[in-house]
Amino acid sequence: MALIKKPGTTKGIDLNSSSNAGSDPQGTAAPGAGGRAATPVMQPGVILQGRYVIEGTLGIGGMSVVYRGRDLRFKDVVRPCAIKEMYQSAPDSNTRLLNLKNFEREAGLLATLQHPAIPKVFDFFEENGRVYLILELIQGKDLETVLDEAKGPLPEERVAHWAVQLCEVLSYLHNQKPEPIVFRDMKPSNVMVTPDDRIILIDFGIARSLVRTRGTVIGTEGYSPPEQYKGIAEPQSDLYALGATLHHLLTASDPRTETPFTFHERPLRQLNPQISPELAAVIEKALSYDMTTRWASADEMRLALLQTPTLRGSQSGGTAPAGKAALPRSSNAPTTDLVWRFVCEDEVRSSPCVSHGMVFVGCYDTNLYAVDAGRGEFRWKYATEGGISSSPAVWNDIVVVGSEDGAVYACEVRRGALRWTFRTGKPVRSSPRILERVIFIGSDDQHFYAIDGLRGSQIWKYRTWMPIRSSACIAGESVYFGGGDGFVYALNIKNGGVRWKQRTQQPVISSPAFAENMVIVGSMDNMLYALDSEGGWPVWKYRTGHYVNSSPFVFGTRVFVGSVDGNLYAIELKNGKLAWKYDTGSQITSSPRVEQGRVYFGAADGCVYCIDAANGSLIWRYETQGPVVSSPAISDGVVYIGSLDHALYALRA
Amino acid sequence: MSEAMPPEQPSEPAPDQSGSAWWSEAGDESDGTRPLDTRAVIAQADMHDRRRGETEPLDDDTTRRETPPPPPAITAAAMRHIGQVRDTNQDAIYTLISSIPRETGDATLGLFVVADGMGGHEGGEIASRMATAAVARRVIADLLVPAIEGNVNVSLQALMVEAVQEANRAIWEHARQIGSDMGTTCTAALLLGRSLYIGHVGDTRAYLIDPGGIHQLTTDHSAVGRLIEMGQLDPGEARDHPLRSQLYRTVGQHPEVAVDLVFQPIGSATHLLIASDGLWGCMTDEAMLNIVQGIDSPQRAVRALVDAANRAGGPDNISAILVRLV
Repeated sequence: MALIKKPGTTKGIDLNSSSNAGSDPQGTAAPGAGGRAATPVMQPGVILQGRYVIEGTLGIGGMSVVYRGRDLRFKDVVRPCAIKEMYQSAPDSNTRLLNLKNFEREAGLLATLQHPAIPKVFDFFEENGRVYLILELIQGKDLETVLDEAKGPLPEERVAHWAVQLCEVLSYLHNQKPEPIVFRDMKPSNVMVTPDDRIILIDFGIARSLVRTRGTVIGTEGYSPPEQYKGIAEPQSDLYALGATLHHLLTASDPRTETPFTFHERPLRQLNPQISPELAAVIEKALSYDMTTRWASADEMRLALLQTPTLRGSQSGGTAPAGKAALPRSSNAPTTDLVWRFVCEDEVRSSPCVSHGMVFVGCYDTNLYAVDAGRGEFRWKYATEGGISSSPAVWNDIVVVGSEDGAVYACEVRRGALRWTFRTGKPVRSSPRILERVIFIGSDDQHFYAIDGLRGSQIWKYRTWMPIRSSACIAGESVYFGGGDGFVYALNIKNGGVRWKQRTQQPVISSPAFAENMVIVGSMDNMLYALDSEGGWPVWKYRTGHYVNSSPFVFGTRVFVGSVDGNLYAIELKNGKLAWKYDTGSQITSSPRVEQGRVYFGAADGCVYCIDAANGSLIWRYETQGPVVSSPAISDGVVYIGSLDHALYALRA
Repeated sequence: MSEAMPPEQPSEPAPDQSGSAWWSEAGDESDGTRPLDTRAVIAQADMHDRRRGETEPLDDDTTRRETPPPPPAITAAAMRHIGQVRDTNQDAIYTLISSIPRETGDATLGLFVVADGMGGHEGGEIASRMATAAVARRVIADLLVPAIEGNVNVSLQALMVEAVQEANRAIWEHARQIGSDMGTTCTAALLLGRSLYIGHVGDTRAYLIDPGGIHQLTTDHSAVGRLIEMGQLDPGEARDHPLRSQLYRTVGQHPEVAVDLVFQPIGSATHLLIASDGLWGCMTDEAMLNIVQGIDSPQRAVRALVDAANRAGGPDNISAILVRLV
């Protein structure tokens, strides 16, 4: 229920807009507390004109009360009717006069119309200084009540049938002569549905013949088109409001509580993927911001609706699909082309790095490999004294990687000649990050190091109390990484001084990403954290079903991350809300990369996945012979990734 | 703090405190990264370690603690005024400033709430007071108390959103009980360290003032405001629009409410201003900026803001909280 704040007066309740679900079957405006207190309500038994007896109250609106009544002239049968009583609560005489004119206009309008979806008028009179309208009593519920009771979106086929009927009645109104009638307040609470699923339009309180002058009557916020705020109401305005109504019915997302005019930001199929694309397209055209790009007429929209599979199916007598179920993930999902495959002597856990026309990758067979990126031919390898799970990074003409033997190695890019080594006390499973000539890397010896990339000498180091396997993220003058002690650290890039440290509940192996002043990182406490980069406090947290050892990747307004629970998550950066998730059914420790709107990652089921970043649908997957814990590198339309089947793969992106 | 925590690291000043010498100040790129001054790096590397490729002994003497930048010296002033026309004041305000201890240096926590109530029969007053109380209660219980104990692990965004949603539920239920209809705007700004987390419903605005000018952080939840934002109505036209101040989102009028959340590091900002429409509806952004920048004392500045709105007719209740961040 909207409130209006009138300039110069106490903010008051707006009695003219919105509605109260279900209490308003004859379409008076919504009951409001302020009005309710002052509303005169007639008791059952009161008889008007010696003919209409009050039996109960159906609804109380801002300017009228609707009663259920009976016409006593039909003595042998019960002839029910609705009695709409206008009352005046406005203090100033101008408003009172306007209200009376509106009421009289409604009566006059209804009296001239004849359509099965418009209530019939039986009588109109004044008694004891009040004005009354006797209307056909509609059996059924209004659509807002139907929607409330469903507690979710209504079935597509049923809504589509109503949509056609609504187009018919709008078409009837819009084709009135000499001037079309614009209903101006299409919304679920102004549409009744009878027990036999016919719809009837109620509340013609602000409907009027189209007079092309500016007015100020708006309709209902959330459903009304933008032009009505400028006082313009054309037949296309009703089509927008019809689109808004159908959008509400099919998504159960109330436009009155959403930002106005944002239907295009909330596509039907995003809110309810069950809706057929064809029906969604018809409705979304009606919701065009610009009047001229909507359907030209209610009739045109009706014909378009009849062409949708939803209605074509049901018309031909067949049973329309009640919404398509999501396709089961089948083993014959589309795959992609193998560009080349390079086989090493042990598992490839390391993630490849593409530079200088070569792919660099570490292997558990102790070698750092350089492979030609185009053809997959061996260029050189450098043997360390331990397996390599660290992922190489390139700076200028050196490639840097850590080894299980505890050292960080720097090899010349072209031929693999050793430039320097930097020894730590324990295996190096963290991967180097390089800013200018400074290399940042963690070690199982519990230290985090800043190393001079030119000479391999230490610039500074910082001690924690557990192994560091997370790799750093550099932003501004800080370097961020996670620790086996469960802390996320922010160090001064210059001297390793602690800017802040923020605790998670379990070790952090995931490597942070930086975006929008937030440090985003996963933890083995199952959470993905977005931390305030200034102070480390959690801005938001997202809980997954298992460890988050995958490292988040930010693309556009979303952050993508895998979880050991098997899902690849796309989460809104702004608020930590889930955009979509894709279930692989097996553990994900590989970290996603996004390129050209596609998310690439590996999973323990041996597959490399390519997913549409916009909606989480599978584009292709490629099966290797072993689990894929390596993370992809993408370059020139090729995805490079390692597998525990000992091979490095180059796949068509 | 669990036993898994490492013992305190020895606190030692960094050997090089010259700071800026490390970095070239030019080329401050938009992604926040700056190129390293390589000469300084080499100098530092030489100073620290002349042995190349040797294993370092696992001593602690190379670890050090950053001397944290001092927390912003925050002062705040708040004022609410009935205005010149109304006979009730339906606005409510709340402010709190606290220091919180932290291992790596103390931080400041501030909470600033303005609520602008609506609804007859004292409904507006009740709703706005309930909103400020519910937000304050939630933030104090779930953030301030744990923070004093050195343990912040709550999601701040969720906290601020839920605090306003809690206010929404409380007002909604109260209104149901007494059979009335009441609502309020609610703009609640949490300052923690050097970042703001603002939960927001309605048209009470939060502004950030920095050397570059005045910036509105919140979006009014009115259809007219949105049409202006979309360039479909010009502000002049909107001033006389019959639905100028009709809100499509309020606290307390639906069982559920969507709360906007703004996360905003304060950066180089000097002031935070939270203002009800009784203030911002009466004066231009520039006029507000001039007063805030022209008057050093937040107390005097906030009074000057309220006076200016009253001079412009004071058609509505006027509320403002001005926080000086430096």
